[in-house]
Amino acid sequence: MKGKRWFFGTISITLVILVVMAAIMIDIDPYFHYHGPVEGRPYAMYGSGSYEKYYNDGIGKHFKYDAMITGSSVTENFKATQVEILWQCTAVKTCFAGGTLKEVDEHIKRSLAANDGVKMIIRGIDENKLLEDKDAMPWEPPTYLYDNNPFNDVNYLFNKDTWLTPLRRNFQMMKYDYISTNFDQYSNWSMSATFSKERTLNNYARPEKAAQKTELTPELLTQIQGNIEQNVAATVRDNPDVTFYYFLTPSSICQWDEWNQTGVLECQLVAERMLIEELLKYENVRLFGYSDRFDIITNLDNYMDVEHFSDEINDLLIGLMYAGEGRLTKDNYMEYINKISLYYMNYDYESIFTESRQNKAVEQVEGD
Amino acid sequence: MLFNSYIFILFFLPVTLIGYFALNRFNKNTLAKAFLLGMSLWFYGYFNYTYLLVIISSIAVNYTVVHKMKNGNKRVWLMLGLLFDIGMLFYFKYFDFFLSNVNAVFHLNFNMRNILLPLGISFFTFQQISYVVDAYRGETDKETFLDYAVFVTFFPQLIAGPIVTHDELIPQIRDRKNQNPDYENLSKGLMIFTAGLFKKVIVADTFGAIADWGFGDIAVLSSIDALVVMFSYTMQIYFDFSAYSDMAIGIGKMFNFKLPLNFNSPYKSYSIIEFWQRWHMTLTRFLRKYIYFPLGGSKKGTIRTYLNVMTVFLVSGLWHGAAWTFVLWGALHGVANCLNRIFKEQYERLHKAFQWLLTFIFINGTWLIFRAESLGDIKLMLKRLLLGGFSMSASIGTAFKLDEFSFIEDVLHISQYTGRIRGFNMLMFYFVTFLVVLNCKNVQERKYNLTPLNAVMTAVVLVWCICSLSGVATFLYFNF
Repeated sequence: MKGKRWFFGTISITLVILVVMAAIMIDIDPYFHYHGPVEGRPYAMYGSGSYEKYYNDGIGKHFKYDAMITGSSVTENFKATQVEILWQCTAVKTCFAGGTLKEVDEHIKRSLAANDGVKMIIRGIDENKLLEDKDAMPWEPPTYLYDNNPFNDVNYLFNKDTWLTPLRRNFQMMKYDYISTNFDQYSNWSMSATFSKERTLNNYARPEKAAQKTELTPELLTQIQGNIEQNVAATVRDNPDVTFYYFLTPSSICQWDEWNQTGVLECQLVAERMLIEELLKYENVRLFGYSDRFDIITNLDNYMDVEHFSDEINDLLIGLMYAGEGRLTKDNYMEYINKISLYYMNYDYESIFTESRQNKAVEQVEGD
Repeated sequence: MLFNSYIFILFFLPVTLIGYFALNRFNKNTLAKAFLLGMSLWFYGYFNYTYLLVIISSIAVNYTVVHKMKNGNKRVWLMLGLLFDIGMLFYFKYFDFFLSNVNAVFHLNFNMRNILLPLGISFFTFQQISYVVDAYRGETDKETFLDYAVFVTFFPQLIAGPIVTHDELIPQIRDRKNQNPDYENLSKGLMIFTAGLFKKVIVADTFGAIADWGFGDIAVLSSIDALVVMFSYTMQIYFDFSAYSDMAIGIGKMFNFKLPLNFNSPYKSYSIIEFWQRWHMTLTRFLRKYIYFPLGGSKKGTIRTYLNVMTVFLVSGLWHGAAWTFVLWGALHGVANCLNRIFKEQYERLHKAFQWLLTFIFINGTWLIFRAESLGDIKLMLKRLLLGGFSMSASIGTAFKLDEFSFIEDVLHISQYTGRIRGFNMLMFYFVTFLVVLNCKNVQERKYNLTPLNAVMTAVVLVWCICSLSGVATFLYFNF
């Protein structure tokens, strides 16, 4: 009898703890898996980087918004309020650090399926993702938060990481009556970054010059086309009522140097052209290209590494898109392609480093 | 299916226990065994259902062989049975290793088959070899196919042992007394299972993170890093295997089955001979009974004894994995075992503390060989150990700083003090685990008092472990 009481007692205590934990998690719901924000209750959207993958799906499905800003880490410093003021909308920002085209596009699809009222998507398309495999994913996402299977929610409900970090943060927010994280702050890393030429060059490990250029084989063309179709074009086509503001993220001249050194520069330009030609088929796309903003791209003080630019550039890009500047159309896109091809194929890449070396020498002399 | 998974703890185990005892309660004993067999096969095929073909054919062939032995030429059927078992093990586990060596020696270019190793194949094959050999020796009863299949597939011991013999488990499966729930066994089994789960998800996986990090990029390790990484693997494999053995024994107890002790505080050993009496005891028992004794054991002279010991340890090395690192690991343990025997008197004159230290250093060093991907990795690790410098990577401190420890530090407002001591969490982790390893009683020595405090402790630890399952790691012994 003692054994029976002990056994059922222990099981009961265990179940009671688990049920209480599940109830608290569902009520607070730090990743917005079950519901959006509760009126009058502050919430935290914790940090940037890997945590975004946990928050974004819930934001996309359960927040009230009509505009979404998304893309990889270079879009994380956008400010939703700027978009809201210019377009007179309610915007959310859901970015994926290191996100591939597939990861971002699947997020857009899930969000649009859950939200009828979305009118506008602003998405940065990283040039350096165009040559990747169409099914490339950065790392295993927390699919239990993305699907509708209630059974795998145990991974969310009974997860010490969730309990000790985001949930705890939410409790602290409520206790001290803090203001919720907003979409200017969420995932924004600009405050902790240093943007300078020196920093950019320090973060750039220049590869050796490849013995030969990567050939644009039929297989590679099929791969690029597949990537564009599956991870960009299909969603645009399937959602004619949504306006897609898509822009090619302006990588620094070091990125172009890297492509030149590794022999993929021409492939990159062809991929960019294929993307543009595909997207210009759709009425609901406003497509922007900023690779011809050489003033931005060659000024390494705008960057912290080969691709990550400062929040000032993010602000500028939103303004340019709103004003329609840099928009690519069927009439002007060839001019754009020719302009950037000519520029980047003939650029004196050595000057990036010789100039830097000269500066260093000058600094050293002045220091002495 | 993993013991340390949500589906196992929250669904599979409760459903299997309830189903098995409910069917027995309504006197559907055969159906209850069939249910247990079905659930065990689901457990086994959970990751890859094609594995089921391997285990089902293995069971069917071995049972048929033993059945045929009763009326036919026993020796021929024994040979056929052994040929099948060893052949299957060779094909699934060693064929690629064999081909790579043929390619290397004869400068040939056979393509690797990349054969997927069925989980636990070494365990259930050895278990069935023992059954076939014992049948040949006339040491088995007339088992029904269902009893036999339940014995081989019984899920707690199926994938990573202990290697249970037919005479240990089949009588327990048949015993009507065991077919009703015994709440004392259920309670103690739950406590043992929970302790094993804690060892796995909180202790072994924390050490495992360091070991994986270090062995993943040996070239960047400092001497201190290399030492911590080696020691972490020593602790990881201990707690990993100990955890699995505890969980298997705990679950067995819930079903009223007593599984043999497989792990008896091995790091308390004062010699290598003693270590092998405490580590993976059922494997040692198998090798002794089916290889060492048939070769003559220690009865055919000194030289033959040492040759037999070396043979057993080389087989043990190869059993653990198809790679030269495992062979080397086995060979070193064999040599140490022989030296231990040769210099027994001199060794025993050493101070006990020195004996323990010597044994532990040897075990620690040989685990490096066991864990390394290649002989090159071993060399590189030794080089880093000797010439890597005295800095310590930040990754090590981070890995030991579990979220729950940070939470406790915050709540107690002690992080300002602990933060001043470099590697505080690591030192605490090592101190506590080492204390447990050297001082705590093993699972069968311990008393399990059914007190209210133990009930609350068990429930809290169980919930803690369940909440640590996201991002699960597999057990090391699954690969053997």
